[in-house]
Amino acid sequence: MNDTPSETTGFSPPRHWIGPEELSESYWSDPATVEKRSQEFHDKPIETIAMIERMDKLGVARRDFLTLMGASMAMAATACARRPVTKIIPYVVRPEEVVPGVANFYASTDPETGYGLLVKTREGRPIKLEGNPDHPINRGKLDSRRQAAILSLYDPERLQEPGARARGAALRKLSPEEFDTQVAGKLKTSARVRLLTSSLVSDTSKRLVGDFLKAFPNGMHVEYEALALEDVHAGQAEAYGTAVMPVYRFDRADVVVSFGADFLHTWGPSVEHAFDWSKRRKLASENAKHAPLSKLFMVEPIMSMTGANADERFPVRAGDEFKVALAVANELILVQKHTRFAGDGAVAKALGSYGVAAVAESTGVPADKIRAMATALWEARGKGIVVGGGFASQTSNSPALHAAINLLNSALDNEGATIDGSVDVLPRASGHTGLVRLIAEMNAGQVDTLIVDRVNPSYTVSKAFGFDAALAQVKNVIVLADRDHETALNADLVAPSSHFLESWGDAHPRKSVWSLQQPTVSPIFSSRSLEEYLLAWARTGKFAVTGLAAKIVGKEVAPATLFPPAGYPAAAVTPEQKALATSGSGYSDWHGYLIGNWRETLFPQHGAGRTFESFWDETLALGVINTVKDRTSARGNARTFRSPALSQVPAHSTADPDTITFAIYVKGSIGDGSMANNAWLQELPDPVSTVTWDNYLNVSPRIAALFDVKTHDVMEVTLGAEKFELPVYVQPGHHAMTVSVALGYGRRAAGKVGNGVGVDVSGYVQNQNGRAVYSGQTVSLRKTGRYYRLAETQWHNASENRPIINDITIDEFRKDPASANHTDPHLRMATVPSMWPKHNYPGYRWGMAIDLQSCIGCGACAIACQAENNIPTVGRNNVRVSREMHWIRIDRYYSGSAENPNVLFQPMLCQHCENAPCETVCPVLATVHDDEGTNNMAYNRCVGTRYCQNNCPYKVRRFNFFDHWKSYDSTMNLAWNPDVTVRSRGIMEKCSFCIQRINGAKENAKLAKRKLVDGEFQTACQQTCPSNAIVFGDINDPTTQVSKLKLQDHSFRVLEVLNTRPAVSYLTKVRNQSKAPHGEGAEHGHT
Amino acid sequence: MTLNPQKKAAIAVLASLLIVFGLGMGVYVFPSASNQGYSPTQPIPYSHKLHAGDLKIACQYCHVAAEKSHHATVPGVGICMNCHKVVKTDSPWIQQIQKAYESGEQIEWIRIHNLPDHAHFPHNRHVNAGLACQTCHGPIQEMEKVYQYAPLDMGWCINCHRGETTPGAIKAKFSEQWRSGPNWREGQVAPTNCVTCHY
Repeated sequence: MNDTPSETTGFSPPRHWIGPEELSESYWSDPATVEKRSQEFHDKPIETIAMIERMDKLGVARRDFLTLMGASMAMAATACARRPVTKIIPYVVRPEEVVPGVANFYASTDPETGYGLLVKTREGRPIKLEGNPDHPINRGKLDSRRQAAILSLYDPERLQEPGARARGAALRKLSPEEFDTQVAGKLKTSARVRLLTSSLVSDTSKRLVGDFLKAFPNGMHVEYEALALEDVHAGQAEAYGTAVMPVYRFDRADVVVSFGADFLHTWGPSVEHAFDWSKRRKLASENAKHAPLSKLFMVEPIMSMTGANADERFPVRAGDEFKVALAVANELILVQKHTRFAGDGAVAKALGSYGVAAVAESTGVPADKIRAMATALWEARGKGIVVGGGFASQTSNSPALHAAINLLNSALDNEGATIDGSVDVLPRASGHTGLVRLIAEMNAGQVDTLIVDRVNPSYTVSKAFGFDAALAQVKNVIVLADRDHETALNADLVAPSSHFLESWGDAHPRKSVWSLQQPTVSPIFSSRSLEEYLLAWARTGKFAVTGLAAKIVGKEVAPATLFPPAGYPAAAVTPEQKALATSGSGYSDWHGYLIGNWRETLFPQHGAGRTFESFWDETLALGVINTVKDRTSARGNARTFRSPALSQVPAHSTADPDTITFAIYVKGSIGDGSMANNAWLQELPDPVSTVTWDNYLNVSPRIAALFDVKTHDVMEVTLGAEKFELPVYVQPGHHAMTVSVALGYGRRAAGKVGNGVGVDVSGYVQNQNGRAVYSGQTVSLRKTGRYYRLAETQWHNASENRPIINDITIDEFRKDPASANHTDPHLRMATVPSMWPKHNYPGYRWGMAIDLQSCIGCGACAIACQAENNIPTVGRNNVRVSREMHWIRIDRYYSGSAENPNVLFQPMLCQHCENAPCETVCPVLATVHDDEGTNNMAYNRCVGTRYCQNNCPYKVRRFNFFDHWKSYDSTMNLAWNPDVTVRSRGIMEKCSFCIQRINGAKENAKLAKRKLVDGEFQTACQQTCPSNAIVFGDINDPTTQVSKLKLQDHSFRVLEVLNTRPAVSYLTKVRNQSKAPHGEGAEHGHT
Repeated sequence: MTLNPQKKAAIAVLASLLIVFGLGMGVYVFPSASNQGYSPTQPIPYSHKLHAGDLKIACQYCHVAAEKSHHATVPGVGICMNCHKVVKTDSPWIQQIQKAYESGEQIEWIRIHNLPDHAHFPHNRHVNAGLACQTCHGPIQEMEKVYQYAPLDMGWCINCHRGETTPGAIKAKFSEQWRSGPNWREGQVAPTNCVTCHY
């Protein structure tokens, strides 16, 4: 179907396509399409704006070009035309460690994930986050949300000072002292106090909370996490007796089977998973004949990012995953009689009705594929992993799914080998269980004061759980938050929460790992961390707190000695600092508590042979204490599977094939929506759909055909008594009769950036006896006939069916690693004559190799680049007309059938061509090639001809059509990287290979009188890539990693036929499939 | 619309006058790119002649970061107080400094040597290469009131990089290093590719 040309017309669809439209012949012959594809930008702004105006009731404010001309006349009137007078204002007393212009790096921790951070600060403020290479979990890597956290720190829409309100009304400002007094007053009259926080990963915070709550007759701490993987915990508790999320050692796994778990992106410590999993994907052509490659099977309803990386993928209806898992178990245990469960009666009873043939019939997954999974898992027993869960698969059948998964892992002896249940990664047993109990108490009027810290239940908790209604029954509601969000609107007293970059803290994310969190900037606004608030209230209200808190609070610390720090002039204190100090809990109370706790608990264990001061300083500098060499303990921690867990398995039934099932999932960039006001994250294209700025209804090509809708058409979804509307996105590979929508959108009180973006679907999460069920409901759909243009980016850089990318199977690779290049001769043209003289590279020569095997498509590189290079966001309308500014983008291609395609990600950035087409056409020589192989932009020379952008075959040049830098409001300007020029309107920009880092590293080497060492510095994208897909270095030096990768037989350069001689090469993607695209297999018995 | 010759002549004269006026305004508004000679009055009349000249205090005693960072930095009041805690405390200017130190209020100096944002000048590389501060900043030790000695425009920088105006000692040290680089010319002592300063 795919590769055989049509008999009548000879039309063959492209091997790699961008959307299902490209598979039809009419698309390519349609003159409108041909015209569009030949343009640089497919959407003309005038037409798009007209379309948007038809679409939005409010219309769009159009630029009036005449006013721009008017503005320029004013310039001539200025007298005295020297450059404006600038001031230079030094410190009064320069802090010893701050040298203006030199960056300082501090180790810290992200409290949400426990990842170790290295915070780059300049002149006393953080400007970039990197992973801490010494941290055993993330090992120097970060994902897109962590990279974007720096912008959230400087968000001017953060709550800036405390306030009081009548619930639902406007906030009246309070000073910190007034706030503390009011809170203390309320607490004094409360016997029953509840503190609702997110999962505290800090032992010290937990200790302080305990100390604090003991002052009240009935005080309790409730933890709630919007995205807790409670089904995993519950399943583990049933099967093994311990409610943990184990460590999954993907680097030890030859075979991974996932039932819906998006473990590379949104399921568990995804950075750790990506780092480990990608280790087993890397191939070297030197040992191609016996090259080992792991295999990933995915059974899921939606096309998740992990599913896109799977070697074999099977779409199933949301809620049917467990059937396939049980069928695999049935095949292994009952049919092939393997494993020690072969004679177990309870197991036989549960698995009985889930024979492979029956499940193939009910789910649509071909029987031979189920058997293949079983065989693969059996052959890799002890070296495989079965995972499952995640929101799209969190249906009422979740208990059965996890029972099946745990049974498989135990049966295959993966438990204890690749899965370590003695370590709980990020104890997040904080789903709805505790919250449900709290809501019951609140409803019964049994809560006097509720303190909420850094969670937003009025937004994230489904109406079905009744949180808002229960809140109305609570006498006093105090909310600590980073902004005046949905829950804060329902409170009596609200105060700002410090960002984690402004607070002290520590983390104990899992066994044997402790890390410290230190502030890298003074609180920008009048905020404090939860712990500081608790100690302040203890002091103000003189509550009978216990333990270490009592010791801290009992100290009569005269406020004047808190500020200023030693060595500073006595009166150099701002009014804000003074207020904080006199309110009782200055900066040092919580700091003192933290030190006190470490002195009592961790120092005795880990500080042997050192004084406490040196132990503390060394740990603070390194960031982490890690007591095991290997992340998980030695093999052999296998837990015993409890067969009663299988009692959750229902009898086999088949859903009505005509029903449409609804699924809710989570995006890696937006998550639970708490960072919805972060423009970087909103504008990061989704890895699979490449849509920015909105959520949408994912439908399969089949449903699109059934309802006659295309992407951008608005559909109405009816779920029980609820109705909602949102635009459609036709997603190849999505289960044919399932539709899905992402959480985290439709916020009402996030800020200017996040409000009203997308549709809030958290309300459609169901409450089944206190258990949250996200997916599996039946819905009906209706086409409304309206149109909403989603801002998707994949079509923006569509080439005219040029051979951009290729992939081969592992068998082809083992036979001949260069075979990819044979299948498409255009991919490698080794000797192409050039009419230009060769460049001379006497010193370093910079090059990059990107391993398509490792790139999972997460986009962390794009955010890291944005943070490092001052790349602005442009907003939805500009993305619609292809004006997004990302210097590196992840292009996503499909191959095979639209029902179940293979997916391929390719990071595309400036290729730094030796024969750059952009350099020869610049009329002002703003872009030139330097003697180290990079193509440079001299921003000041650029006059905005845009000929270079036109000429670039890779379409990687980004033009500043507007002064986007002006969108950086007030405090956001602190986020700029001072080493990189900020571009204004009319300037072309593109990836510079992080030239500021290259120059900085060369400078250091020159001053130290030595050559650069491979890996001494990294480009921003390389540094953060969790799967180590990007390698950069000196290709004049044959010993560097990048040089070796460029010599691989399966290395190719994009569009080499054009003789651009790019400095960036790619390693062909190799799939662990037995033959060409598994699209052909999808035709068997597919629903 | 047809124009008679008189109208055409009038339009030609008007147009050329406008163009000349426009160019003239342009030259008036932007006489030169450089601020050479710029010597603003500072909030405190600090004399380099006294401190750097007569007292021979080293430049980097105050301009601490010149050796380590791209920026040379202007000293904070704390450095002044190293001596002026006790020296000449009767002077009203010194008392102003002391007040600033005690109150934590910063002194807002007027910046003289400045480059646009798109040009990065690393002090540390030049200082570590052995260049005397006076090479670019002129005879600071003789300046009662600091003025910008050099034009600091790109051409002036490039001339030194190309070896045309480089001090002899530096030239001797560096002139062979760049021979194999692109666009090399005799006597070049430092890189001249764009990205050296523009990134």
